[in-house]
Amino acid sequence: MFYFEDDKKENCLFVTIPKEIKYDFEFLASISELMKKAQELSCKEIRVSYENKAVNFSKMSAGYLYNTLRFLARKRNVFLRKPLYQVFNEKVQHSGGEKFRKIDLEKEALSPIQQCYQISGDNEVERTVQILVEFILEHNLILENAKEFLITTIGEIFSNAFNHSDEKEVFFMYDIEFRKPDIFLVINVTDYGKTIIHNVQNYQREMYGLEMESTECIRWAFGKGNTTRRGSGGYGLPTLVNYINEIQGELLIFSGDTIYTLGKEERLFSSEGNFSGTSVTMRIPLFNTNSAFMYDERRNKIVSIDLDKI
Amino acid sequence: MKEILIKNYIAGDTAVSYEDGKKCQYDIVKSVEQGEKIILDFSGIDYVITAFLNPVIGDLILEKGDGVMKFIGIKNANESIIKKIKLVRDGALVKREDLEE
Repeated sequence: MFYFEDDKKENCLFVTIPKEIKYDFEFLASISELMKKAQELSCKEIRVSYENKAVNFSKMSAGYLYNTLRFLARKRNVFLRKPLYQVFNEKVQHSGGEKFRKIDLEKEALSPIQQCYQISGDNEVERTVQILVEFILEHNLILENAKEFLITTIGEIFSNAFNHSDEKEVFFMYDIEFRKPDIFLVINVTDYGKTIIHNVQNYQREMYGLEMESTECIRWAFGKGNTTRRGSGGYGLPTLVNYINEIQGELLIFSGDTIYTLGKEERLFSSEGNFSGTSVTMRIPLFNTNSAFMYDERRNKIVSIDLDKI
Repeated sequence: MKEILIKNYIAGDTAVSYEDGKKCQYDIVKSVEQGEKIILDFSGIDYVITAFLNPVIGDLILEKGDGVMKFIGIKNANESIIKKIKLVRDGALVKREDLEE
């Protein structure tokens, strides 16, 4: 998907972005390849260009790519060709967690702008979860015990991100996704710290002198009571999986060089490159438009909900 | 007997922080070491996640042994909280057995 070229003399990595990007496995694999190349080449500069001026990014992919480039820019210079800079400028708004406000489905969630938040500390986590809970309680027609569901799932995701990555800040994004006939709330939490693989491999090596494969590490991390902490733990991931299964949602975890997905089926596989951190995406079904809900695709607007279908 | 109100360690009705759990555990240990029975009162708490319960229940059992359970009572916890307490307690008991072997 992304095209890479490096100039060793200039110590520079050139990245070409395709015309269209969707938030999918191929995109995530490209992100991991980008991070791998940036690390391997220890380049001082990354120049990001495009295949075609008319770049078309989905909101979530624009936000994700922007976050990744911001992360890479911590240690090197990152330059974007002008239309790309414009795309990010138009599509992605970045702010601290304290700016996260009540979600207005009509005004915000359907807008073309992807909001990204940098969350730090327990207060911002609690606030974020609370706002999402309010949103779900107002708009959800499918989830039972929505509050319990969200607090547990998002709470466990944030808790893992802060307690295992050794990072003080994590990135958070959400989107409302239309996949006929269903509407989903998509939530992504990404940290650029220690990966699940790194932590499990270290733990296994130190405790039992074992060398573990990446996919084995993820499988181990999902086992009830398995934790790299010295003490009680290891219930967050299995609890998350149980809740996602209950609502027939989807879960995607990308950590190091391994991707785990849970949807119609559970899959675990090696990715093309190495993602320097852990990214968790959760897709929660909100409505089924066939049964209750009228969505005008042309106007990108929710029209009505039938009284007898609620 | 001493009552520990979980609400005093968190803001709102949701216990999601490991750090808050650690603070609570510190107070529990202080009392238990004096041979005092503790009642953990969950009134006003609607939701917890396992990260909060790990220090409060799990680490306590791992550090003090399963005998500590005689000194801990639970009050005003809803069904979902009890389910999670059981999950963390049972996991800690298994780990404790492994440690003793």
